Amino acid sequence: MILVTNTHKDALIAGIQVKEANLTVSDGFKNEMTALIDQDNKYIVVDFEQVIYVDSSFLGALVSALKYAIANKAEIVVAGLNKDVSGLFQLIRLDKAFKIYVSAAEAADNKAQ
Amino acid sequence: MPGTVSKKYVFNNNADGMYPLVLTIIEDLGQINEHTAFKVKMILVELITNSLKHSGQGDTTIAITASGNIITIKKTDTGNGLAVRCGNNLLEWPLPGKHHAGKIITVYNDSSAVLKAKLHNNCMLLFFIEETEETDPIDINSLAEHFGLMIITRACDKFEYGFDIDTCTNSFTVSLTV
Repeated sequence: MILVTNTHKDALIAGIQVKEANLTVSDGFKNEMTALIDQDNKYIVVDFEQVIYVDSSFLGALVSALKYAIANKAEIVVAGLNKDVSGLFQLIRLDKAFKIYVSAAEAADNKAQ
Repeated sequence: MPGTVSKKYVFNNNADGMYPLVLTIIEDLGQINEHTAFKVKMILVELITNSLKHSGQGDTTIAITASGNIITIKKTDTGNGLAVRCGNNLLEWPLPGKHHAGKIITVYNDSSAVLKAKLHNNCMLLFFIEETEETDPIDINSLAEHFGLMIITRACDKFEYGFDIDTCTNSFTVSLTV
């Protein structure tokens, strides 16, 4: 299990439980995200607070999940990025594809508004 | 400035060892600024990830040199050649035929950029990026799902791939200015 979920207001917060978000967990992450979307969650906050780095495989899985979410009229946002992860999102322009929040709570509050 | 550094590291293609090795290399580079450290870290993670995906049982060697304001990272492995698609064709190394020098191929593209490569010959190429005009809102469905080469190319000043015919060795050479 890579994600631990809980609901906060109208949002589902999916907290990544691994420190190293790399190719060893990317397939599992994608499968778990797909299952959450299939369960009709419409606003999913992927919380990176525990993550120290991500690699391209994990980002590919995240983008794949985003495409699946959009096809199912759901939204994925990200929160809790450390400086390196945030820098990586900017480096490859993924900051244009995802809404980024400082914390999962802030992301959930945004949905509630 | 990192001073003068020349070190080699062997990675045994065990995923658990990836991040500790990255941190060791950053530490060995000594005094580099935060922005450079970030770029070196991203480059190393992707080079090592490439080995984990493609190099099978063989070891991966990473050589770091720093001199003046230039840091060079060279990764070599004996795994499968770099998988690069040109149109619908998967390139195999060495590339067949002649007259490759100067030819430019598109590796992949999405709504924000096109990753291209210029061939030096049938065994070596240089990656570069052409930015595309951003659409607003961004077309999510056009986004690539393979970012490794893009990350390295964006994080450095020069990124070359070479395939040694005699030893069947892949080499990835990345340089960046501090």
